[in-house]
Amino acid sequence: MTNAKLHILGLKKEKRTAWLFILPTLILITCVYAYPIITTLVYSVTTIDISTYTIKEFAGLRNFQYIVSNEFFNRTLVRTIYFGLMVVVVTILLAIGVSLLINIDFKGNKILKILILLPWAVPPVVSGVMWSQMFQYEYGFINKIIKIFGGEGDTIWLGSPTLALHVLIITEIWRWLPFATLFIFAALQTIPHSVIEAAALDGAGYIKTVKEVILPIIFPGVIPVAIFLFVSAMKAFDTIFVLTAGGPRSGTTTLNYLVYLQGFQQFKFGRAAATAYILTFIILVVIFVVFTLNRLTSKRRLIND
Amino acid sequence: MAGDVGGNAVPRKDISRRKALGFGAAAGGLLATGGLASLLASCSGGKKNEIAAPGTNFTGQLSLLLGSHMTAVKGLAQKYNTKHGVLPTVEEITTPDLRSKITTSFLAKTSPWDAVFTTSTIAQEMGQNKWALPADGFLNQSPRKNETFLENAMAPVNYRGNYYGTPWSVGAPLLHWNKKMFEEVGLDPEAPANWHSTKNSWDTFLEYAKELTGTRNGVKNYGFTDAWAADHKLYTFGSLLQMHGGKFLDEEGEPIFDSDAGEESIIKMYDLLNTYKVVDPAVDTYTWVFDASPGYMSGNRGMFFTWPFIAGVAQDPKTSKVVGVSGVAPQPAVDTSASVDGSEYLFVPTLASNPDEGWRFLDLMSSKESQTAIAETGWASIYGDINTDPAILKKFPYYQAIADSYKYPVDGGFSPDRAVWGKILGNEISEALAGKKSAKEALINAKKLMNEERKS
Repeated sequence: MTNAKLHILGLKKEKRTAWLFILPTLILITCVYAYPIITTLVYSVTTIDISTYTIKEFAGLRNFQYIVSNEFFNRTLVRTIYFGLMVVVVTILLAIGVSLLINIDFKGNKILKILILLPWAVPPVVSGVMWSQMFQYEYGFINKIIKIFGGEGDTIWLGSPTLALHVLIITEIWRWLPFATLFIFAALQTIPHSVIEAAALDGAGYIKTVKEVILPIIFPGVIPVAIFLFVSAMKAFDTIFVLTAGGPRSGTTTLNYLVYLQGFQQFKFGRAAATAYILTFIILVVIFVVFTLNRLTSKRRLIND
Repeated sequence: MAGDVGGNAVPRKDISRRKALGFGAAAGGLLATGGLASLLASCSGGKKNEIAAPGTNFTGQLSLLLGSHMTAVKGLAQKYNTKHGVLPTVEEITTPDLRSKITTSFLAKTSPWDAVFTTSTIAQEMGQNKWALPADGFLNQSPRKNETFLENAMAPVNYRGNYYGTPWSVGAPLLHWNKKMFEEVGLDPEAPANWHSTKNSWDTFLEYAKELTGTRNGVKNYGFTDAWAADHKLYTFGSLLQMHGGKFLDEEGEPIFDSDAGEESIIKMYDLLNTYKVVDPAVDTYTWVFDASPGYMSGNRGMFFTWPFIAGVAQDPKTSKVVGVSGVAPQPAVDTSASVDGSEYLFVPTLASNPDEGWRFLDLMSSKESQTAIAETGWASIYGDINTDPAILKKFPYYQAIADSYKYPVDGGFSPDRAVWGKILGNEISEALAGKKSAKEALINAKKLMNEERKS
């Protein structure tokens, strides 16, 4: 047998083994989620009688039509995407910065690494309460700090829809920063020292090394983090529930929260199911776009290399 | 080399860690649907247990869902154990989270509780969906007699002629004021006591609020505070609406709040907040009483429209700086004084596993002895004679203000869909208070959205 054939056979075996490892998870996910996904699809095209919890009538695409033609939904959609993108972009930028910092050898580095992970251990409801107290306009920590630095310190952070939305973004960034940092730091650890040394020998300073060497190397590792963050932001619920309950003036209602409002405040389960499907569709589209962009940039990088 | 590090240089079709993560992310996307779907799916199936009237099938088990503020009722659990040899398990819930909690459970056709706390806002919804057992027979037993209760306090639980709740305490928002602050700015500290019986005293209320607002000794003081977030503002809007002679709904349950009275009510709220800036500016972020009360208790809010029990809480030196200086009276008047009933109730769920234990607990709770104990903790009893007992009245003089407040309209537009349209109306009033819509536009839009919601 030629070496090439042996290599192909080896690859096939490796692939088979990989599938075997993944199969139990795939079966579990299919069993656990297939039923509710199908049920939700059925609900999205029906009207439910809540007193008996039975299907009242077949609604066709009426729920979807109602949602997409609704001005409130459109505003919520734009807000949700903005919320998601802000969480992804700012978290990743901060995570890169923090990863670069803890990648430097200095005294206290290990303690810093542990401290960075702490927000991850805090339950979202607890962090929601904590942030709501920090942003309280009269006795809150944030306004006190602003006062110390000479500001008015009387901003009602949760009183305006725009400000409240950004408070939520900050809270979500704080929540997910440890996760993103951990991933990006892991990617940084895979860069051989020789690469950094070679860049230094070529006369590149720290900033140039980061920009021209480190960031391109870790970029492929950032993609799954970005997707994970985007999906998490789209699914954000507990923080919104505790901090703003979707207000003021619905200014912090995201699509996922809207699903809750429709389902468990208005009991329009058909409508809630349809909104959930639209949200899932949006998430899948974004994942597809990110993967496609990544593939295109990877190809271009290969050609350049 | 770069590709080697990132695992991206050689496009391979095998399963990389990155692809696996990508798949995980995609699966996460599906969870957005799956999460809801799991909840929805759990709503099908389950047991059914319809019991129409209290009986004697005592199972020795009792589970209660009580409001986190209902310490007085919680205290009856031990008494129940002593009397009946059954120690109830008690779960607590905050009022804003109550509806989500119980409806989710009832939709799943389960009730882990045998007696459940309910508010005037959602009581009829429980009746309409047949989630609560009618209490008519129970209420007509001694010492409970329908006629012994305040008629207005029973209206919220009356759905199509049946009562779906037994009150544990009655009350509607009252005017609380800080007499010390009044004196500091040279105002008569006893004046608000008679505003409820003085036509157009709202104007005096406003003038007082203006005087009370300002920075003194480096501390910002506001004339008035309240909880105006989401639909909580409907207590003040509803009070103003009725002070102007308006109503939320007509006899058929159709919305009529888009009246001149409604418009004038929003304008009055807008003026307090924006024109004269006499209200705590964060009022729109306060979801319920406990968000707004720290401001009043800190001693720099002059007046506060809120629940009667705050008068008792304000006397606790551990949490309050207004001990001994907090006055209480029914709210001021325009054409008349008015408020919105906020009495609280317990009901036995249709799906309760131990309904007779639930009824027996309600029997204990509504006994004269227990009601006296409840009144001793600062929560007005459901029986007038207990509230007006000289010994109790001496300790809790504001019970008189509660009784007086029920002489005026206290309707809250109670209907089975009150929680749904309440949110719509609350949101539209917020738009008007933020200056995004005129009062009229907000009310017309609220009515339009409410009707659409009812038709859909």
